[in-house]
Amino acid sequence: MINVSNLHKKFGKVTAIEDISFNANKGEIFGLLGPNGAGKTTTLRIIYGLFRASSGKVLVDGIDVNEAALTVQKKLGVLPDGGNLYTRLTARENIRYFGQLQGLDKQQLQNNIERYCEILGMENIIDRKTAGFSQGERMKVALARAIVHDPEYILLDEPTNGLDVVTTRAVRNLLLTLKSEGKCVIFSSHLMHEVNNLCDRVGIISAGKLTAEGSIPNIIERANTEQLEDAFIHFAYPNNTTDEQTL
Amino acid sequence: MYSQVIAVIKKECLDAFRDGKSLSTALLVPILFAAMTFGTTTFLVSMKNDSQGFTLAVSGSQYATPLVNWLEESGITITQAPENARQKVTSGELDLLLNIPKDFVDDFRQQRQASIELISDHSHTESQAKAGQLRQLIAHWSAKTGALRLITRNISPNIAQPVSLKEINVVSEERIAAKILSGLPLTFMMIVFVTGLGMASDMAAGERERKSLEPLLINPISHNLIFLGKWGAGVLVTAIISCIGIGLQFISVKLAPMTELGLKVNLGVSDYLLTLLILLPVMFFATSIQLLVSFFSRSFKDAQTYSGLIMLLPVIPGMYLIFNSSSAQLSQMFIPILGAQALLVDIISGDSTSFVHVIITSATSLLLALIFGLFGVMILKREKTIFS
Repeated sequence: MINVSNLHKKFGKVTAIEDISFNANKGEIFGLLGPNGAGKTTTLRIIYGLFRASSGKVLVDGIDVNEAALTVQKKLGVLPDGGNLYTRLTARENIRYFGQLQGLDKQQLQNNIERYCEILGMENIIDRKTAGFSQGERMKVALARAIVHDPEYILLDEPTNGLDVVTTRAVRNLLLTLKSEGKCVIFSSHLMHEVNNLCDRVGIISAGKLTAEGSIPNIIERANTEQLEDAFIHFAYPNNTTDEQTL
Repeated sequence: MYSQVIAVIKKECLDAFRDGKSLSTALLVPILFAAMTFGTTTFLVSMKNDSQGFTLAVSGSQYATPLVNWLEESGITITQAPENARQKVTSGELDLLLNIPKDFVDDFRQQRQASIELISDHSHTESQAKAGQLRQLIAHWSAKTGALRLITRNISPNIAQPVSLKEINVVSEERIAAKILSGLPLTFMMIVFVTGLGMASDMAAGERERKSLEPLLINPISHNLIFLGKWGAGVLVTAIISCIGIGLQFISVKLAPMTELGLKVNLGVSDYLLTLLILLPVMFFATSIQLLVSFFSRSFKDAQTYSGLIMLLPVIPGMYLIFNSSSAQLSQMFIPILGAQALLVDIISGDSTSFVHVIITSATSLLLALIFGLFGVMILKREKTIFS
């Protein structure tokens, strides 16, 4: 389980996130929702050990990420927002590089590359240099690269942004497969229909604070709305819920 | 742990060798430097050959036949001065004109001081070298004639020359050759500093700019090892290209017509290997400072701007050594780059190289490389490096 408790993060005098707490369990997909600049990426960066929280704790299977970042990172597969590939390397070389850094042996790495190549439908691009790849192709390679070591926890920062229908469906199927394998997935998104289709529970972050957390029916009920999108507006923009121009 | 560092080294080397533009630029630099060394030496030889004998226009040669004969014996070809010779010197058609006036004969016979005129353009460097040679020859002939006159009067010529200065040149032919090749150690340093520059910028600032640094840092590998891997890759590529570049320098010195200058350059395989041994710690130092600056830069363009400053680092001690050609001193070994360059001057000069000096300068370079490396890791660890 990923246990996030009372996370605070300041950059100089600016408070990026304040008192964020939630849990994400194995076998579930947890959605982290929020407007741009709300603090989703900062929260994820603290979870995967790239930023140090000003206060608060992140425990992954009971291990404090501040104390043993590398141990925690072995358990995580992370797709950061805008993380790019090495364009002079082929898709296979990109994935293999990260697999080697994760400490996989040659055979295991080869098997995993073949597996994710098949799941994500990358057979025709796997040995091509990634320069000139479409956004969808880049996303598939980045995703395969992030989870090539079969991690127990998968953190994805806006994975379906700007993808075509086919790639979005491939990503969605992959997330559902991972969930069925008992893995925990946390993903941030703006896309309500994606969240609705995939997430078991969600957390809504607004201006650095977690304004709501729970199952989707529970969130809808607490916002006294009928759809997740309306509930999202209710919790993400608490002072301006009816002004659609804000969106 | 080591397999992770090796994975980083392999990836960075593969990436660098596939970056055709950067690689060809890195290879082009040593080739150009080698061509420059060969060209400079050949030019010096041609200058020396030109100055050994030259044609001199003389007006009134019939009035000073012994002097003209002396000049001819000394290798100067004498021609009759054309009309308007003085004007032709002014216009540059003629380098030099020696004018012997008619009253030279009378003055010479009467043993009065006879005058002759040397007409040249003092702003013309090449003609001044010839004029200098001519002045020496005439002064020598004048002294010799004066001495003969004193002897006929039973006076020792030594009376006219109370002091005799004998110049003893203790410099070896190799040292003179080294003086001519004084820019070579600086060239070696430039090769070391320039070849890895593009790669370091790409590995650090390029990685930041392409936004591939964040995914890399999320892997379970410490920042220290990532830096170490990139450092190792940078040193490896710099070493490979430097081996080729410095090898080309040795070949061009070997092919250059140094013997025609009467100079000896004994640069063999052992000198080549010793040069590489001395430069290896400098490669660690250069790559380390390049990575530090590059991680500090926000973009590839930023890194290239700062790189210009890094390229100046070897120039300062290099220029100092060009003008100060004494053998390497112990105190120089504690100054990075300078110590190594001073040792390279000794190698080119054919002087023996102190093993202690090599160890001290190598240790100094490696220590500084390590310090810059640690600063580089600190910058890599900054959160700002990820989000800015």
